[in-house]
Amino acid sequence: MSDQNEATSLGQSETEHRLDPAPRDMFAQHEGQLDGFLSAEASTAMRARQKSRAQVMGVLLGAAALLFFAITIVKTGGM
Amino acid sequence: MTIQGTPTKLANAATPAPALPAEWRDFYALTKPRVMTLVVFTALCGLLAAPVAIHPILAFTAILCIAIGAGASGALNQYFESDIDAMMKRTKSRPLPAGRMERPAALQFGIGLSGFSVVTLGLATNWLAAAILAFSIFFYAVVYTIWLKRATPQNIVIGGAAGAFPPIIGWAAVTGDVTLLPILMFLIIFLWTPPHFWALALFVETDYANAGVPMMPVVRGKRATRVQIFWYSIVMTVSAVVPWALGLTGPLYGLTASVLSAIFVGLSLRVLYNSSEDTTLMKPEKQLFRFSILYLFILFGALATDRIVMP
Repeated sequence: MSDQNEATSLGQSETEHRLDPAPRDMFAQHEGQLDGFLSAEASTAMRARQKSRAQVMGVLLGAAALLFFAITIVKTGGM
Repeated sequence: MTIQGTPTKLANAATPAPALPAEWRDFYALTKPRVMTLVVFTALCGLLAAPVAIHPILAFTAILCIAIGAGASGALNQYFESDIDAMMKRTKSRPLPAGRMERPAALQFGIGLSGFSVVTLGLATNWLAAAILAFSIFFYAVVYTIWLKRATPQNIVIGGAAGAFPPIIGWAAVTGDVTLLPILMFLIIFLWTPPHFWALALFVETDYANAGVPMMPVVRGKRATRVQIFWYSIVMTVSAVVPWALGLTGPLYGLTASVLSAIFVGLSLRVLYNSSEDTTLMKPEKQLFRFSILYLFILFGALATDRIVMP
C-alpha cells in the first residue's frame, strides 16, 4: 500500500516536472545541455576532456605495443 | 541482508549522473595507487627472492602485470563499494561516490585491466603465475568485497589473503612453481593484515559504523579488537622468523625480523593496555598502524636482500 502511494507520488512528480518548463531551463543552465544539444561552453569542456583521455590512451597503447615487441624479442631468444 | 540491500539503493540515489566523461585521473584513482605500492614491493621481493634469474624485461612485465592486476582489483572494489564509500569521510571523494564517473565505466575498466594483466603475465612468464593473479583478483573483488566485507567482522582476516598473493605471483613468474618460502611470505602478509587494519579501524571506527561495515571494533568492541591485535601480532612474529629458523634465509633477515617483530609486539602491547574509547587518545593504535607499514617494507626488503647476497 505504501509502495503504491510512493509510486503515485513519484508519477505525479514526474508529470509536474514534464509540464513545468522551469526545471528544464535550470537543468540546461546547470549542465549546459538542452534536448540533446550541448552549449558552447559544455561542448568545449567535453572536447578538452576527450582530447586529454585520447592522449593518455595513445601513450598507453604505444607503451603496450613497445612492451609486447620487447617480450616477443626476449621470448624468441633475440636478447 | 539488510546491510547488503540498503546501501545499493542509497548509492543509486546519491550518485548523480556526471555530465562530462570521466577524466583519466579518475580512472587512475580507481586503481588505488597507494595500495599498489605495497603490492608492487612485495611482488618484487618475491621475484628477487627466487633462486633463479629472469630476464629484466620479463621481470618488469611481471611486476607491471601484478600492479595492473592490483589496480583492476581496486577498480572492481570501488565499483561494488561505491555505496559505502559515499558514507565514509575517508572515501567519499573517490570518483564514483563523488559522481565524477558512471558506475559501468568503472566496471568495464576493472574487467579490462584484469583481462589484460592476466593474459599478458601468462604470455610473458607462465600460466601458473597468471592463474594465481586471476585468482587473487577474483578473491579480492568477489570473495572479500562482495561476500565477506559486509557479512562478517572476520572480513579482514580472510580477505587479507588477497593482498598476500603478490610475493607468490612474483616467485611463480620466475620459477614456474610455488615452494615453502613464497608460502611463508604469503603467511607473513596474511597474519600482518588483521593487526594493520584493525589498528586503523579503531581510530576511524565512526566511519565504518556509519557505513554499516561490520569491522571488528564496531561489532565486538574495542577491547576485543585490541586483544585480537595482540594475538595476531604474536603469531605473525613467529611466522616472520620461521624463514630464518628453517635456513631459507641468512642472519641478515633473521636479525631484522627479530628486531622489527619485537618492536611490533611492543607496540601491540601498548595497544592492548590502552583502554581509551576516544579516538583522539589512540596514539598507540596510530603508532602501530604507521609502524606496520614500515615493518612490512623493511622485513621484505631484508628478505630479498638476504636471498640475493646469501651464498
